[in-house]
Amino acid sequence: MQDAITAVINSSDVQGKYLDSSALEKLKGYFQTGELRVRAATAISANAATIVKEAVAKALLYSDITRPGGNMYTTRRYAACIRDLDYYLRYSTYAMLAGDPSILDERVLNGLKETYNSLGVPVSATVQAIQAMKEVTASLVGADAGKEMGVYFDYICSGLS
Amino acid sequence: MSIVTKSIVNADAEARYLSPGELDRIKSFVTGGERRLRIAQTLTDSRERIVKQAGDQLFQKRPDVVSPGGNAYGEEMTATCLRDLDYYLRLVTYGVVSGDVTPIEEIGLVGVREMYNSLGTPIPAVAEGIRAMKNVATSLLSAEDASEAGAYFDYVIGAMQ
Repeated sequence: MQDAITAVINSSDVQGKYLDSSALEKLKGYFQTGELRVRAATAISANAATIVKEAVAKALLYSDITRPGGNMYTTRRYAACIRDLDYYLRYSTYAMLAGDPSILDERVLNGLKETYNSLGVPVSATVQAIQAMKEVTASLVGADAGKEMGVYFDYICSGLS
Repeated sequence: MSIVTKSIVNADAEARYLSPGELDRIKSFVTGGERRLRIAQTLTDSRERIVKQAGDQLFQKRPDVVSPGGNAYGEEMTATCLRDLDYYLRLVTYGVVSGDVTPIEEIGLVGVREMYNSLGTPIPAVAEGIRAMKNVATSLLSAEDASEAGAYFDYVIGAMQ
């Protein structure tokens, strides 16, 4: 994986270049938002279980998916679903902290669509749940950090669709 | 890698959020970001001077390397030697902005002995050249900045002992 800093370094290094003004600007932008990112990560990690719970209540709990025949029916499947949402929240938080989505490609999205298809997990419901997490998270961490988290939640959704 | 990626990779290996201690370290890293960029900028702007003066110091201390039979003898070989010093200065700027030695290690230290041995380049002389760059570079910086940058030069020197 890379982060906002190593992304800049890697692209300068392949060209054998010192960090030029546009590279330095990118790094500056990251450093300036760093405290915001750390604060948001702190709030999310302290409230992860609540965020998942509220997102499930918003998007899934009262829909057909939890009834007999639905993909969240049986406690085992329900548990697997909230575990997956937990993963998405944690990895989105990592990506937000890093300022780079590459960890999502490498550790979440790689093969995910195929896995869900083979398990019969509906992508549309998954996307709805992730969008619900996006809203719940934004209301917890505030608009600026919420917007940044939204980038990575959306990244997962588009990787699934 | 940077301190950010490193903390994320460690946290992910244990499937957890970053600890308060890890987040604190990232926070102080981003808070010091402007200073790191300033150091990198100074080293980048002064690179010709740093490399030139370090080369002069090196060839004064080790006249054998630029004498007939020496590994930097001849215009082309001397230029190659100075180019390598310039490479290491560039890697030091990468280390400074990422707050981590991994970029230096991955790009320029893994396999370095094997490379220079196969080229017949005396590694102690390369280390001497890096030490000379450190002296020139730190004379251009404030005491605090010099100690920050000096650590990355020292890392390169240490790896060549």
